[in-house]
Amino acid sequence: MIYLKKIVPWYRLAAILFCMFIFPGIQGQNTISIKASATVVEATGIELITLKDISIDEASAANGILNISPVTDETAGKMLVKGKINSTVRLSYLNQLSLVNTSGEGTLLFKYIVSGNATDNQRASQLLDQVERIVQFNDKGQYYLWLGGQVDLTRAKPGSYNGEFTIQIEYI
Amino acid sequence: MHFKFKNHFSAVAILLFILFTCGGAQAQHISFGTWAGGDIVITPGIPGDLNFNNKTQVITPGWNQSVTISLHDAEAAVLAIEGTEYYDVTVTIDAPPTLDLDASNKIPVKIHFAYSNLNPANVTVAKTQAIEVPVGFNSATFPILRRTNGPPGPPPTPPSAGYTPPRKTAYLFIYGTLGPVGNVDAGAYEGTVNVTVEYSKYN
Repeated sequence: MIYLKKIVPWYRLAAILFCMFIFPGIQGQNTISIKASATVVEATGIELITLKDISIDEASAANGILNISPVTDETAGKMLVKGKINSTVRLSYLNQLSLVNTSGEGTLLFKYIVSGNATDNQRASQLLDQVERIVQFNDKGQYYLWLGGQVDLTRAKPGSYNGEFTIQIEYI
Repeated sequence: MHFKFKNHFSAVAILLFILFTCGGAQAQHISFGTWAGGDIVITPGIPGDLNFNNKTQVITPGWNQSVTISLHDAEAAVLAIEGTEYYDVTVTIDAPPTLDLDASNKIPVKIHFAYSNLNPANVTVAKTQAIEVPVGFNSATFPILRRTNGPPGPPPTPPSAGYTPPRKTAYLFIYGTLGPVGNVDAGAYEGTVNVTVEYSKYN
């Protein structure tokens, strides 16, 4: 028994040394916080307002082909898109449309050309000639579109032709 | 005779203590991290936060509304972890289950993370080499610098006066899915993701 008493300090010392190596405390640790966030807004609709229709004047046709530039021609149509301020939207539209003769037989194939600008400046508008185009509303939640196109009138029958331009706009 | 018995008894006592403490077979790790100093530096990259509006600008209420920021999206948060290249680090992510506006307006969020430790030249390269931590895990252990191939080299030179071990930077990417947004009020929803990085000790 006397020897057992003597070794107790050794046992304790060994345990202390062992624990010192095994549990050295928190070392080499670093913590950082990052913020995860999302701002939810009330659902906001998109309003499309036609400010001016396209005017097709046969007299302006060259060799029966009528070209209306959406950037430079006064006869181009004009639309205003209203949405959430400064938000980004994806535009896509059908670039060909059959115009129906409302006073007789026949159709005309109209190929649309569209330009757009966040400010009301037709001459500075950019052609939206891709299938999809990403644009941004201005600080008033507005974006302007001008519609021109090309139509072959050489085989057009007399009459009044009508059609609707269809454009899809969605927030991204 | 007495002297020999005393030594023998001491050795048995220490051995028993170790056996009880270790509690069975262990993998063969050399826990260099046990002696590591507190020299891990975490630096937020660009972006340093996870903002779901950076992926989808207009988030509106609705049960079919959700936004996913993936690892390879530019909107994934980036953290740079600088440390001694031959140490393993354990990264622990403590993420909330929801982003909250208030007690009654919460949007579920699932946070994922990936690491990149091939000594990438920049964040872009790091992302292409990143390893995604499987869904359901909130921590991962990896070396600051991953060895690409070949047998392990000799043990590293320990730090000493006049010698600083080489340091490298590993990258951490944090991303995830928000939603379904549900029928919640409009407002700024927030949550805090705590990222802890420490040298691994394999205790």
